[in-house]
Amino acid sequence: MTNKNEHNDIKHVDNNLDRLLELGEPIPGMPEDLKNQIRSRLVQIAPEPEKKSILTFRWAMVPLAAAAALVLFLLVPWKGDLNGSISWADVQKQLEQVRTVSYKECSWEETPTGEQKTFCAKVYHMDPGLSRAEIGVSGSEVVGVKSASRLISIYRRESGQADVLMLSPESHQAVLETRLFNVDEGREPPNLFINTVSISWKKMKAITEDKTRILGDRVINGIPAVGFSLDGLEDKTRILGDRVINGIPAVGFNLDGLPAETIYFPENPAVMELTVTFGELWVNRKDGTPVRVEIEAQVNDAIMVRHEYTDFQWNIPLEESLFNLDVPEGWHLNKRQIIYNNYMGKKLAPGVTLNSFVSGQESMITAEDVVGIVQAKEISHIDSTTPYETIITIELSQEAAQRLRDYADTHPDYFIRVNLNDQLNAALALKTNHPNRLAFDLMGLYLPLSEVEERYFTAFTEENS
Amino acid sequence: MVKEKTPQPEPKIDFHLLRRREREEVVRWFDNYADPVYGFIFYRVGRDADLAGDVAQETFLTALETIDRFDPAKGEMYPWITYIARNCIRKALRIRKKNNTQTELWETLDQKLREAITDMNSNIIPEELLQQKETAELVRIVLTNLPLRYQVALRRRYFEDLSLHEMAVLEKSSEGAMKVLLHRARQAFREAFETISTSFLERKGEGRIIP
Repeated sequence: MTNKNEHNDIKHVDNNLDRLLELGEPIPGMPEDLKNQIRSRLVQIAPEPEKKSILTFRWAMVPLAAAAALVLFLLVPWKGDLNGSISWADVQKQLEQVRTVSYKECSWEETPTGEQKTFCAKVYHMDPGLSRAEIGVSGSEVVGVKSASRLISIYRRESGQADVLMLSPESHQAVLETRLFNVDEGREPPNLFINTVSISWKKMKAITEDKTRILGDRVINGIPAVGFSLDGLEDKTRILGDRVINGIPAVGFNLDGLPAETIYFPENPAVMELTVTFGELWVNRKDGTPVRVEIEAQVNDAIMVRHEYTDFQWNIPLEESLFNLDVPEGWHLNKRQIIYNNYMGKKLAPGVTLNSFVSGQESMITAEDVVGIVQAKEISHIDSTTPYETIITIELSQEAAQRLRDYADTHPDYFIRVNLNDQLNAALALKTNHPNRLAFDLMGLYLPLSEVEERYFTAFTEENS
Repeated sequence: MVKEKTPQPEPKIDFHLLRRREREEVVRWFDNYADPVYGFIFYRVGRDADLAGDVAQETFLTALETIDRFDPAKGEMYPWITYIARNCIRKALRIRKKNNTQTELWETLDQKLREAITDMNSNIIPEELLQQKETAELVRIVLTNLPLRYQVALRRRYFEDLSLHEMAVLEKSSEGAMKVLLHRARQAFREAFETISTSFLERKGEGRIIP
């Protein structure tokens, strides 16, 4: 009897619960416009733009590293011609034939504050405009082992736009960025390998246009070619000798003291200047292709970077699916849009002020010292019109920038703050970015870039008229 | 590509990054809790969408400002945020003098419902009580009071009509584990329903209470 009652009670409870629970629907979710509004407010009170997430930071390192190394590849003898002459026509022919490349990269970086970061990655590039980096744990071996990767970055570049997907397999998070580039010709964003080749081409063209470098004509593999010398690079003192690397007989070249390279990265506030302080290139004895590259360089006289490239494979078949932008089911996806605008002939609007602030000192600069507005970057959630990051970069006159630098050099313990329109602060970063350029985070203004342009910028011509 | 679906229960948040107010982590944290927290607030401010929006904003801003006080070792994030939400609701209702909104609801929870809840173990709840909008409102309030994993399990089962197998696939778990989860969720709902309903009825007319 007792059991029967208990059984009935359970049935009643179950029945009652089922009926009650069916009343529960629908519980509304937060409206999207409200989400956008709160999201923007939250990022406003998260004012630490200088502390970029590792995810973004590491991604930024990959193109930098690739650029640093590959620029150098192409400036040293592609074929290890020890006779002191290079056929640029032959180099060009080889470059034109490269459609895919993969390599392993290990990088180390130290910032002026002593912060150190290291990572290894397996990188794939496919022409046109496809790249994939599988970035593994600090200092670890990854060599294409996907399960060991902590971040996978996939980059698809088209004219004026790039889609970048960053996947974090451990946390099942994904970030899909649409990057829109409104930049000048010649300052287009790095497209990893492809773009880097383009950068190098410009240097090569400059070299081949210099008639004093002509070494003479020569037929190589049946192809009429003209040779050009490259000052210093064919210097025999640079030859390190022979070595077998991964079973491949290789010859080494010393790359120390190469001329500084200037590279434009719209993702960063300004140009980057790389000065190689140590470097070795080992090329295949048989065909001259790189086998191992080690480079240590200083970026803008501030950040030390070291890169090691190995396991090169040229023109291997790569599946296009490696570069798919699909996010695995069940992952958290954050979509955002980044706009890069490059300005020509824009300066600060009348009434916008600029001054420096150091306790007890008069301002060392004014708005008159601004030569122009260089570029701007806006990051927003894909569904939001309110950005959560807007950064503009201005260029100061050389004299004004020098005044700030001089003061910073003689007062290393002082922190110089620069205010734009009395609302925005920027740490003085004339060394880590560009000697004359300063970037300002306009997040506090809570304005889309188009409105910032309207309020803060004016064209030179308008002012002149 | 990822499809929109029920928020994941208690997502993994990197509290180190959140405490540093890293923007991406802040956005991720907010995106994960926006819907359930809004639902929690919505029914407690008398379905006033504007007020719910204001309270939700204050809740998240307060939560982020005081995030250092949250200790993941002591409990989950959702109950902590809803604790803040309760205070914000109380404050908002006081300011807007909307405390009558909830009082209205409590006033209408009559003796019959009290008896039905007390007798839930031995009797079927009469259909007329289930038809009352206040009963449904109470169910929603109770649902939004549950831990996120239970909310999600109950929603999937009752509102999205998923089978145990489908739930198991979504959770990357077994059907047996889903059965246990649902059992616990229903038990938690029942206990919360009894507690909250009784609390309302006993305090009827005493003013502001935020379940």
